[in-house]
Amino acid sequence: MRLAYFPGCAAVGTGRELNSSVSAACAAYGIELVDIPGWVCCGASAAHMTSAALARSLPAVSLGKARQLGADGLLTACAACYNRLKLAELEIRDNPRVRAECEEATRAKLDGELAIYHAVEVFDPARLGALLATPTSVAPRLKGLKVACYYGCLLTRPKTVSVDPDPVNPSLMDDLVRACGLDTVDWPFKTECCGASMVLPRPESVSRLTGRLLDAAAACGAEAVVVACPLCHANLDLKQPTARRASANPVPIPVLYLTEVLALALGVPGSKLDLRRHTVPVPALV
Amino acid sequence: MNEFTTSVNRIAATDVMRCYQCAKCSGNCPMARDMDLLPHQVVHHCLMGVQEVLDAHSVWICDGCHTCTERCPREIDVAGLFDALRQVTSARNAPLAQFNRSLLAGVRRMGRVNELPLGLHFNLTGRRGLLNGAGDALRLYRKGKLPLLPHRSANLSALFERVLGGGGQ
Repeated sequence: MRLAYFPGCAAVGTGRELNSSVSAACAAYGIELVDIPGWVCCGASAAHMTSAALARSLPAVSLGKARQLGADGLLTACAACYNRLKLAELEIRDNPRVRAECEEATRAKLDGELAIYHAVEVFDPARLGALLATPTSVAPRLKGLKVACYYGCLLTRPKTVSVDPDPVNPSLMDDLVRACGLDTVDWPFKTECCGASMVLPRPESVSRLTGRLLDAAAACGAEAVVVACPLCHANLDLKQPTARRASANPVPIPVLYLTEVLALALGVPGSKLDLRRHTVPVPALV
Repeated sequence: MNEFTTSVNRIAATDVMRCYQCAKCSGNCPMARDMDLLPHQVVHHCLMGVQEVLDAHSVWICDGCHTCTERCPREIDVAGLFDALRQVTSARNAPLAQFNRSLLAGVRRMGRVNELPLGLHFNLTGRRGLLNGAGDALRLYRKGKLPLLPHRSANLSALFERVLGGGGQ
């Protein structure tokens, strides 16, 4: 599989661990990533609050550039980018008026279709299981680690773009994580909101939402949380000390990217990932 | 139907007239406790044509999680309705409105979001004080996650003007 890779702004800035783990996991699994020269911000979440036309046109710039690469689709590992790119692609594909408007705005052709994937969709649990059955240096301390898989809002809502057939109780990440030898806990906050981009405008709201997520994960026995979005990661990891100030016994909970778990399980040494850049340390796994 | 209702229905591509006020949207809203009008009340204002809803704080409290839309038994796109209200309101002093302007100003100039200039722009234009968020910024910087030199890909001024018109942000 050869995919045009859209990192998104956060993955080259405050979420750079995501970027290194996506490259490492895809290389170890056998997915070839091609850079999209000149990709631009998808506009999340300011554009769709400002103008519907802008919300389509910003993703359309990168969708046009990705089309020229002749890849099997576009891959992103950010839930917000995935959501905006996929919504725009579906509108462009299904509505000739929208396609004409976006071609006019971006001065580029947007014919045909481009498959849009989030990283949680391109790994197959069965194939992972087979790959891991061969004796490699599977990070021994990952085995049996109890984790809560957190999907957040934008991987499953609106349901027209859900990565999982069940947007209410998704299991895609749980299946992958279990295929890597970890245990997953059953918890009721899989798709609750972490506060997303409110971190600057309303930090107190983010602390409240993030705090209740982390408390729930801890109460359900999770030793770590696994996420698939750099915005969720920033809220759960960077904001964790503030978010859990009100908790009775706040044991720090490491927050791992799904792609970090996959890379570690596929034998990528912890030193090749950016694990030391996490706020809550993940020493037990390195 | 009155003009305001017709207009928000068209922009949000939904039909608020279907609402039977079960308030499931409000019950599921993670931001409800910070709102002056709860989501089902916002929908009710829209279907009654009460334009003053545009001045409600709630319009800028919603963080776009889409839970209301997903769970509405009448299939009203409540989250889309909030986007529509934000697109047309002239009340743009809320922190989220200022944040959006700061973010888009950077994207227009650079084609990318750059967190450091975004934070500084928001702090200055939103009168937050220069040091707002400085603790987080410092922690990110120490971890090598706050680039001092901005990423650029393209100046998007021409696209912004084509899409939003000369008066756009």
